[in-house]
This record gives sequence, C-alpha cells and structure tokens, in this order.
Amino acid sequence: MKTLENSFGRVRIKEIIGGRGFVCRLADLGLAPGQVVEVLSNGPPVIIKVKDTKIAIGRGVARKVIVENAE
Amino acid sequence: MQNKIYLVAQPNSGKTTLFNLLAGENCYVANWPGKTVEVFQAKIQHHGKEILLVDLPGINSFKTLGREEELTKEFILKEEEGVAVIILNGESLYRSLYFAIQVLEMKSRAILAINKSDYLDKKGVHVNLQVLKDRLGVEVVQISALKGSGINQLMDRIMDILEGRVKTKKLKIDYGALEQYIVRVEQILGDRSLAIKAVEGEEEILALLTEAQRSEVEKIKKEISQKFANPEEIIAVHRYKFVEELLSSSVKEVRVAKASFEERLDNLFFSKLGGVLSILILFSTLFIALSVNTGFPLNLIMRSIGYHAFAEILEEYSLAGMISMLFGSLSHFLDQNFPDSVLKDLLTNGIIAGIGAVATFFPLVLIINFFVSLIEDSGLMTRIAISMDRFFAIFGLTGKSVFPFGVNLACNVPGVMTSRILESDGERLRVALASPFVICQARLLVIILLAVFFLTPPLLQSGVIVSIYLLSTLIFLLATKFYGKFFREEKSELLLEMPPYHFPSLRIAWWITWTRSKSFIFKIAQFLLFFAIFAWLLEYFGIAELIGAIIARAFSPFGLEDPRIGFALLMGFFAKELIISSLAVSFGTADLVQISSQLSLTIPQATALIIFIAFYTPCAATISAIYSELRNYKLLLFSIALQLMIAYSLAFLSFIFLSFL
Repeated sequence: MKTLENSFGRVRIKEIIGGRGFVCRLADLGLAPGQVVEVLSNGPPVIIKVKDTKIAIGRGVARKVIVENAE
Repeated sequence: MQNKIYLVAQPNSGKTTLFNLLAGENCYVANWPGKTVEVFQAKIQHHGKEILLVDLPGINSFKTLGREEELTKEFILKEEEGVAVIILNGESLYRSLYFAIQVLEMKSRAILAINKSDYLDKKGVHVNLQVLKDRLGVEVVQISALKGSGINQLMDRIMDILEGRVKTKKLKIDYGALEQYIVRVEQILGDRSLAIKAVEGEEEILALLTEAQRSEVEKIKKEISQKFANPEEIIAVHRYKFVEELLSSSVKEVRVAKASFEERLDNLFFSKLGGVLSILILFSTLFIALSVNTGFPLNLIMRSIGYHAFAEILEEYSLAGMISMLFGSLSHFLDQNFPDSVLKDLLTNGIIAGIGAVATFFPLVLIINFFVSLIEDSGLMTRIAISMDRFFAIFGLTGKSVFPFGVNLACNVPGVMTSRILESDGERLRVALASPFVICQARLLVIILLAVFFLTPPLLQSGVIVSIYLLSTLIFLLATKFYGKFFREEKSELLLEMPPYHFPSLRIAWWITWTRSKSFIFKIAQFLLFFAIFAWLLEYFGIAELIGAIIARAFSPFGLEDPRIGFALLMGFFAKELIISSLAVSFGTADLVQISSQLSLTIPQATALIIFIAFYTPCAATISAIYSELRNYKLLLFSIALQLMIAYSLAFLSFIFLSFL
C-alpha cells in the first residue's frame, strides 16, 4: 500500500486511517483527503510540503496516510 | 460595558510579538478560574478609550483536548461582547485561513490580521484584502507586528466593531452532502456552529443538551454514520476547498522565490550530518550558558592550560558566584550583629538559605530560557528536533525532547521547565518525571570531588564518571517510556510545522525569557522555602542525625554504616552541594583528603557511594519544579521512591561487581 512513508514527490492523499482526533489534527496541518502534497524526504521523520508550509511528521503518522500518484 | 479584545492564533503566527507591541509594559498574568493555563492580559488605550487586551494561548486546532484548546474554545463561544482578533501567519496563509474560518464559524465579532506583511512583500505575494473581506464577512487588515506597520489601522477597525460602526456576520460554509443533516441539527440546537460541532462528533456539545434534544441529535448522527464512514473528514475537505477557492481568488504571487540558502540549510539538517550539526549547536550553546553562570567548565579548561588567575576571576565573578557571595555575607552580617536565638538561627540557616537557593537558580533559568527562546524564534528548534527524531523515536519520544534533555545536563530545574516546549501533554510529563535521572552540573561537581579523593586509580575515576553518564542517559530514556504507562502515551509522534528561518528579535526573546522565568521562579519559590525551613527544623531538633543514622543502617550491606555519611546523604536530598559541606561540618574539616583517610573506604564502597549520589533524587528544587508541572502528589512520591530504589540497586550491583574483581 502506498503511504506517505514510502512515496516521494507529488502525491494525492486518498485516505487517513485513525480516530476522529487524529484525522482532525492532520486536517489542521493541511493533510486531508484530496489534497496534493509533496514528499521532500523520507527521513525519518518524513518531510512534506503542503501548499506553502513544510511539515515534519513521524513515521507512525506517515504510515497512516494513504496516497496515490498525483496526475 | 468594558471594551475587550482577545488575540486568537496558531503558534508561530507572531501573536506574542503583536501582544507585546500593543501591551508594552502594562501586561500581567491572569489566573483563569479553574485553569492552570496562564493567560496574559493588559489594559491598553486607543484614542483615549480603554481596552482590555487578552492573549489567549496559541493553539493548532480546536479538536485536540489540551487545556489550552479548551480554554480558547470556551472563550470564543462564551465571550459575546469582546472582539476576536484572529492573527494569520503570512508565511503559511493556507493553514492559517483553515484555522481562521473555524473561528469565524463560531463568532461574528471578529477581525482578521494578516501578519508578517514584510515577508509577503519580500516574496512578492499580493493579497487582495477586499476579496477576503467580501467572502468572509469580516474586516481584514495586513500588519507586521515585528516592524510595527498596520497596527493603527488594525486598532481603528477594532474600535469600529466595538462601537458598532460596522456590521459583521458569521461565516457560512457549504458542507455538501452533510448539509441536510447539519440543517436538521441546527433546527434542534438553534445554532449552526454548534450543529457543525455536533456533527463533527464533539462530545462536549452533546453534554450541554437536554435529554430530548440529545436523543434527537443522536438519531441524526446515526443516520450520518450509516451513510458516511468519516463525517469529520468530509467537513475538513469542504473547509479546505473553501480556503483554496478563497486563496486562488485573492492571492497573486508576483515573483517566484528560487531555492535559497534556507533550502540548502534545510537539506543539510535532513541529511546524515544533521544530527552532528544539531549536537554541535546544542553543546556550544550549553557551554556558553554554563560558563556565564558558574564559570564551569571554562574555568577547568583555563586552569588546565595554565591560566589560573583567569579561572579564578571566572569563578568569582560568575553570576552564581556573586549571588551566593551576597547571601553568604547577609547571613554572616546577621550572625555577627544579633544575639544568638532560635529566631536568628531560623533566619540565617533556614529562610535566607532558602531564598538564596531560589536566587542562585534564577540566573541559570534566565540564561537557559533566553537561549531556548532564541533557538525557538529563529526556526532552528524544529530543524534540530527533526534531525534528532530518528534517535529519540527508539524510545517513543519526539526529537524535540533533545532540548529538555540538554538543559537537564546543566540543571534539572530549568530542564523540567523546558519540557513545556513538547507538543503533547503525555510527552511533556513523561520527560519532566524522568528528568532527575539526567546528571546535572551540581551532581557532576560532587561526584568528581568524591571520585578524585575517594578513588585513587585515575583510570577508575574517569571510568566511573563516564559509565555514570552513559547509564544515566539510558535510564532517563527508559524511564520516559516507563512513565508513559501513567499517561496512556508510550509513544509520541512528531508532527511539526516548520517555520521559515529568521533572525530572532532580541526584544521578543527577552520578553519571553523574562515572563517565563519570572512566573516559574515564583511558582517554585514557595516550595523551596518550605523545604529550606523543613531541613532547618530537622537539623535544629536533632532529627536529621537520627534519620542519618537510619539511612546509614540501610547502607550497612556495603559496610557504610557511618551516621555522618547518612546525614550527608539526607542533606543531599535537599541539594546535592550540601553533601560536601555537611561532610565537612560533621568531620570538622573541609579537607577531603582527611575525610577520606578517616573513612578509609574500599574501592567497591566508594564506588557504590558515588553511584548512589549520582542517581538518587537530585534536590528539593527539582521536586518542586516537577510538582508544579505535574500537580499530582502520588505520582511525584512514586517517582521519588523509584529514584531511590534505582540508585540503591545500582550502588548494590556495582558494589558486588567490584568486590568480586
């Protein structure tokens, strides 16, 4: 399965696995289904770029964000 | 009616800078009823009108259950008359707007201030304020809190709202497929923002309803959950869509910024070299901070290369040296000029010693807070945290824990305090509770002295000290994992936004340093004074010697039953430096060579003693600091028991190991 942990470059977020609090916390940082983000480094920690902001996320979090190739 | 405005923002948006600019010197910390969060307030004037300015804690989101989030949310929902000043971070408009629209859904009396306009100018970003204003239904102003621009305009608009000259309205966002359900819940609750929150699944909202209302809402929620797996996700997606449309119609980038020095610095931090670079930065900062405070370790270096006079000046004129000299001469003065009495003894040996202890901590707390705020403000903190994350993740901590750990190497008191920079409450308390296991500078001096005089082989001296350091680091890390059991959080995950680098503002760094240090010192001062008087009572009534004898009994398996050692260890519980001075008093000499020959300890005995001293409870001040973070007596007592137990077992193991050799 393709997640933020094992992908690189521009990807689109498909699904976020986790409880309500977790999903909302990621949404506050700009990580929500449908969003296109750029993975800059696989780390750990994984570094991604969401719009104009860089965000560092731990491996455990990255594993729960399922992505697909951005066309 | 009082004019009230309050600042709402995410961290890194420059809220503190704006507050500082508006409040000037008139600020004070307000104790919020029933809350442990500190809220800054100030009375300010604009065109002769008095306004109460409230600085709500910076929060990332309204969903997490931290005490800061709770307070901010409560404030926004309940304060009907005040105006919410929502500060947007110009560096990350997208995320700030996502935050802002959530406030605007709850609150109509609000104004948006897009901060860091200087940064936007530099990057060639143009924001069409009129478009934002039309779409959001509130006033929008562009400011730079750092440069002080746009502030007057902001205040004028705020006055317009306060005095009813402009009308604002609550924001309404279309939630697509969920809309029909939201409308139905709204009919029950009578308020759209509450309805959205209920659909998002916020339990607190449901608690406010009557039985009948709640069952109605629960019914609708059930319908939703049958159709949608994750309603809160749908809400988030719609909010982002709204923000995206908003930004594409209002923001134009004129120039495209090219990969810069900052990008290259970031890449360096994310590479394998990042960890090395971070450690270099941290240790050189620590080295400077310590040398200013006590002269150590710079004095040792100067001495070893032959500059004895310079080393002495360093020791004498270091901050801690000057303060202890001042309090020493104060007690001496009282001792000389007043007749002997219980009161004089209490004053000189109890109270002044206690206040002196608080005072000697103050410069170190101040210096460390200053460096931490510089590193925080410059954007370096996140990079260092990221480069250290790989290592700390092994123990279920985030890379940010390297800061409290590093400060703990200097002193556990500011170390415990630095744990506040950690994002989650669980990680913060785990690190605070485990802090005493990190060997601080005061303990280092005591164990160096004892090692030098009690252990003759030089190889053994350094061997013992190095193993103590390695072992203490390991125990600290394992302890943070262990304490996780109490907070249902054995693993904390990094989730950090990276602010752009900038040169830290000294004015702001100083302000943060001063307010943080001041409130902290007042908090621990009462505990320290209590401990100082308690220790004095024990000593004055001869109870201390009794306890010393009991402690010595516990050490009889090592052949250390001398009550004078037991007494020194008891005093060491209050402050580690007291071990040396109480040994000196009870042996009647300050010469450690003589003390050592009188005790004539074997190598296993001396090593066991040194190891016990290194690992047991560091000092009363650290206990006070941990309590002010933890607010839980039981857990605090448990942690002290754990420290004593670990110290005793390690001493015992080393004793047996060395006896067999």
